[in-house]
Amino acid sequence: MERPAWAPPGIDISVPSVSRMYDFYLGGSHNFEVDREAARKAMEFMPGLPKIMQANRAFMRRAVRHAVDNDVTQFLDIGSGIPTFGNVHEVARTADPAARVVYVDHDPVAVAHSRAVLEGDEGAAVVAADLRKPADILYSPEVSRLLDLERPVALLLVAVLHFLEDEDRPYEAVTELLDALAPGSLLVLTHASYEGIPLSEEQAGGTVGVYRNIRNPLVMRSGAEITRFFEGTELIEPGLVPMPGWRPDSPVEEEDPYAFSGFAGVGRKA
Amino acid sequence: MKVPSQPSGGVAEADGPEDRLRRFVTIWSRAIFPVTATSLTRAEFEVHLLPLARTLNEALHARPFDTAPAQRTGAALVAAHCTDPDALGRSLGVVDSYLVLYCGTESDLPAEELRARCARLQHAMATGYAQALRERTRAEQEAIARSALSARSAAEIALHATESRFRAVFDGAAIGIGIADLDGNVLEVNETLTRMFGGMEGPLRSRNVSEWVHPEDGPHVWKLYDELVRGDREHYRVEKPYYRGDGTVLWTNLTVSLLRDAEGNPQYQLALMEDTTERRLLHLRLRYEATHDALTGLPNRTLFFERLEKALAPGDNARFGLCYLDLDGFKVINDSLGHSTGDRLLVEVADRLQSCVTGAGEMVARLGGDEFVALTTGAAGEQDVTELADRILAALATPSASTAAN
Ligand SMILES: C[S@@+](CC[C@H](N)C(=O)[O-])C[C@H]1O[C@@H](n2cnc3c(N)ncnc32)[C@H](O)[C@@H]1O
Repeated sequence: MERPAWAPPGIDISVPSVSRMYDFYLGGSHNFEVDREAARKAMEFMPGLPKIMQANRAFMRRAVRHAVDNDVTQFLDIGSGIPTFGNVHEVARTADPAARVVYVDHDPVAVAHSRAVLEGDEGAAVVAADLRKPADILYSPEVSRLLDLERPVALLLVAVLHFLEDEDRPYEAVTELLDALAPGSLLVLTHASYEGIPLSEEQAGGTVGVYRNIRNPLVMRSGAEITRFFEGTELIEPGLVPMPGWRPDSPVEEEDPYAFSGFAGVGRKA
Repeated sequence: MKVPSQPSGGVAEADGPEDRLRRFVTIWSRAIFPVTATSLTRAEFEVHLLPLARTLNEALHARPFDTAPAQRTGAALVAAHCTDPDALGRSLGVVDSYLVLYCGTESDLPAEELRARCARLQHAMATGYAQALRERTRAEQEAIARSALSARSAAEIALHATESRFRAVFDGAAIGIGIADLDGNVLEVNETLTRMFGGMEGPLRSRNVSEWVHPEDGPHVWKLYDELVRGDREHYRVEKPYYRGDGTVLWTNLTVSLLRDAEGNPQYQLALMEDTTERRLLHLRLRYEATHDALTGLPNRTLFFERLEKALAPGDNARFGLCYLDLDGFKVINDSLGHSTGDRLLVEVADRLQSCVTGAGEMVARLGGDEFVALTTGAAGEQDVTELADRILAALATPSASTAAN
């Protein structure tokens, strides 16, 4: 009996949600005033937050296309958030219409919305599960229906691992997921960090405080700590780099200074 | 929405119309990319803008003149997540300054006509953009509200399922289960618990947990309780007695766990109780049988040696006294008058000996046969034992009724 039956469920739209705040940064309207208020507060400390998110989304597009170009056409996107312009299944399908995608999020509203968007879609589905419990994801009916784990899968942990605190054992979770995947699988990852932010750590810390206040602490990790997530894989070129620097398809100099906050990388399981 | 990943269109001849159109797109893209929220890369974004620019170009020259295509161009900006109104302002600025300049050269329309058309195209773009943005905002707001609702009802269904599973466990459990808040108000008890306490739910529910004190409570019980309700302890397990409604004692193995809410804040305490009263009684009886003589009811040699050992324990410098006695000629009585007479004599002697035991540190035991022993422990062991011995001799001086024949 983990949760007493009389405890309220985790749906309280009077509390800001990470996924709806993220939608707001990306210019979407899948959000409520509480979400916008928290997001605006976070932007007071870091006005360039939307640019970070945009760079994150753009990296994800390039990484998904890279995966398809290398014949990895199955995607497990954990912490997928609210579907919006440039979803993984859309990007993947422009390159290979047969691509399959399983989205995973623990935010019930994001999951309900994904379910609505994916209704009737044969090649994509969403699972309500927590990254901290990889078995719930790996043994879900959606994963067994859509993904062939004997063949390589691209595991997307994009802008989600920084929501796991050390006591949530994020490294163990990633290892457990990778262990279940076939050789040749890819780990696609971005992670927040104080490294690269064009602000003092103190000022950037204000944003971290906003997330702490909404009980979704943002854990900034160093480049070295983020590299450890790739244990058991080989980082492909150019390694762990600021997001715009990962296989760019336009001049990196033109990017907004904020876009260089945090890290992105893709590892290939041997 | 599909996004072409390869630039489309024919080969652009240097400074030909196609080349000029592309240069217009580059200027446009540069101007608005920084204020978009699109996840398209710059290169992709330019590819996305190219057909929009082409539409504007065609509209500029079309006969008859029609602004509808420009409205669609405005809407297409919204579709690519150029939702920041600044993206519209900058787009209009670019169209105003560069559309005629880059795309108006090969036209046979007079320059004024081109300028006028360009202005009207801008109005149409703005209208299309505003409409699309309003539509999109409305649609997304509706969609997210619907999702929140359906998430909630899904959670309610799940909650209901958990609740009924929980109910089944709660009601059917062979152990007592009780739930109280952190102030000790009892919120729920199951049937088993009610039965353990004598069958009435009322008295159980109306009492605060902190009132369930019993004189035999272990020394730590209430300290553990305080730690738990303060949130400093997740659970504890103790043996604890309670008074039932009728004053009898209920012994339990009690496990109390702290329940936290979704955010991890302490919220309830959950008590699981196993009724150990009977087991305890049985245990006490077995212990009694193992340490007492069945015939006379006196402590037997096991208990005697236990006490003696305790008295002799190192560090315990208390003194003790011993007085050993057996019955002269008991064997003759046994042999001549039979075992039952012998037994009756032993019981009577035992009773008399027991009556001599008055102090807390005094004990009389039957070691076996007709051998008895008196033990005194305590500060003045030696003196006490002499007194006890005197009392015993006096008690045994009167002739015994069971052996009156003797
Ligand atoms: C910043 S969004 C990232 C969305 C998407 N991956 C992207 O990069 O565009 C983070 C998402 O991770 C989800 N998330 C956070 N912690 C999670 C966890 N422990 N398990 C599953 N999802 C989680 C949030 O609900 C949110 O939707």
